[in-house]
Amino acid sequence: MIGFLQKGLLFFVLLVVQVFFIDQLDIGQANFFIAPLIYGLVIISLPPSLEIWLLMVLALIMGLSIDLFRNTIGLNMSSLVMVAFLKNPLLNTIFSKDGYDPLKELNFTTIGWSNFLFFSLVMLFIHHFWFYIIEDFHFNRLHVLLLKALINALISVGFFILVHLITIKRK
Amino acid sequence: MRNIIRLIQSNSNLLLFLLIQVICFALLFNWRNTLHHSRYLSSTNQVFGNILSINASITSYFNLTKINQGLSLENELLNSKLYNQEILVSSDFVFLNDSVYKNQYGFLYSDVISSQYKNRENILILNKGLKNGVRLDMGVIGDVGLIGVVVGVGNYYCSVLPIINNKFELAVRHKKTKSFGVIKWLSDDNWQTATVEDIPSYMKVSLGDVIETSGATGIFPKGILVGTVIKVEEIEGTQFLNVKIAISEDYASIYNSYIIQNKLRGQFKLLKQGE
Repeated sequence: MIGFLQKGLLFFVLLVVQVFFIDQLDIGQANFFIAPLIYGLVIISLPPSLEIWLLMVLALIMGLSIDLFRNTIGLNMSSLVMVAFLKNPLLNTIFSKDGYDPLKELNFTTIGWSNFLFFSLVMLFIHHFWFYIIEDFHFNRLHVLLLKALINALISVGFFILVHLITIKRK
Repeated sequence: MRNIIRLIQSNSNLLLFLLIQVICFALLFNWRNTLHHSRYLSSTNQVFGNILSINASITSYFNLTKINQGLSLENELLNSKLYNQEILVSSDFVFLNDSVYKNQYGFLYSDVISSQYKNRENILILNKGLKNGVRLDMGVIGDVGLIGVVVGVGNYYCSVLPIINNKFELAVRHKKTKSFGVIKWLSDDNWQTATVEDIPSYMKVSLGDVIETSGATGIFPKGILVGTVIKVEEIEGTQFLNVKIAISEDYASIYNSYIIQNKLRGQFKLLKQGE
């Protein structure tokens, strides 16, 4: 229960950072290319033992609350639900069954730095790519969208590391 | 029957996923295809409008110098227009308050409390709404030039469709030749550029030329600056030019805006219906 409250708080903080900081950030010519979505961290890091339908409903609620601020009803919802749906199948294909503990949440310490970096990069790439495809909704700039998704996924992974370093428990 | 139930049971997650995606897409395309989506949940809502305006009131302090500069530049322009006009008027016998003349356009100042420019569908939120007399389809201009058109109105807030949105279309004209075109924001445009279509290829359009509003839609008065030409291309096989312009208003730093009310828009609409 406390874990869920913590996750809720983390999502709230990420929402504030996303809507009021990252979306407003002015970085000159690169503005149009760099628009990372960081709120997927909560869905990615929830423990894999959670039922997929519950995860998808949570993703739906989170996506809706982001959408209300960004004035794009359905866009963030759809991409976050995509992440929630593909999370467990991907986890099983990338790692072997005993490669992770399904009861513990996924982060850099529980499944290892390189493993989580790779896993979150794949998840974030899917998240961004799906988001940009629905946003544009035509396929003649597919290579640009792929590159954009990859770069923004890398930036978001960097942000995940930052969040992990901030929230880590010091012994 | 039993097989169907078993099928649903074994694929329940996939079915739920598909159901949610269908709902999302329905919402999204409903939202996109109805430009006037004020009846849906949006930032024009009281709650989200309030949160956004708190954020704007905090961040506006950081931009005071920039805002002041913009305003004083605009004042300079207006002053020069005003004093030049006085000299002209005094030589003729024209009365400013003559009942023959009627004030066609009203202007209402408002703050931009939320602006987007990184997405394909950007929306701005202003802090004036129904209670201030804002209605749908009113034009919005900034210190320098055109910003967009009001597409959603709440009690105290309104949402604006800027040029940098897939859905934006407006009749504009080339200032030198007075030839009409349509401004659009295509997929290869970024947040500083837009495309003007339908200008005939025999018109001489050169780099640096000014594109302004044509006044044809009745939303904006004639001659409001939209942007300057940065690239001209002939489309092969057609008689038209493809003109890229640099938008004069910088959407990354936009704080002041004026909502334009056309007092004769009712008549304009009636005439349009008769067509």
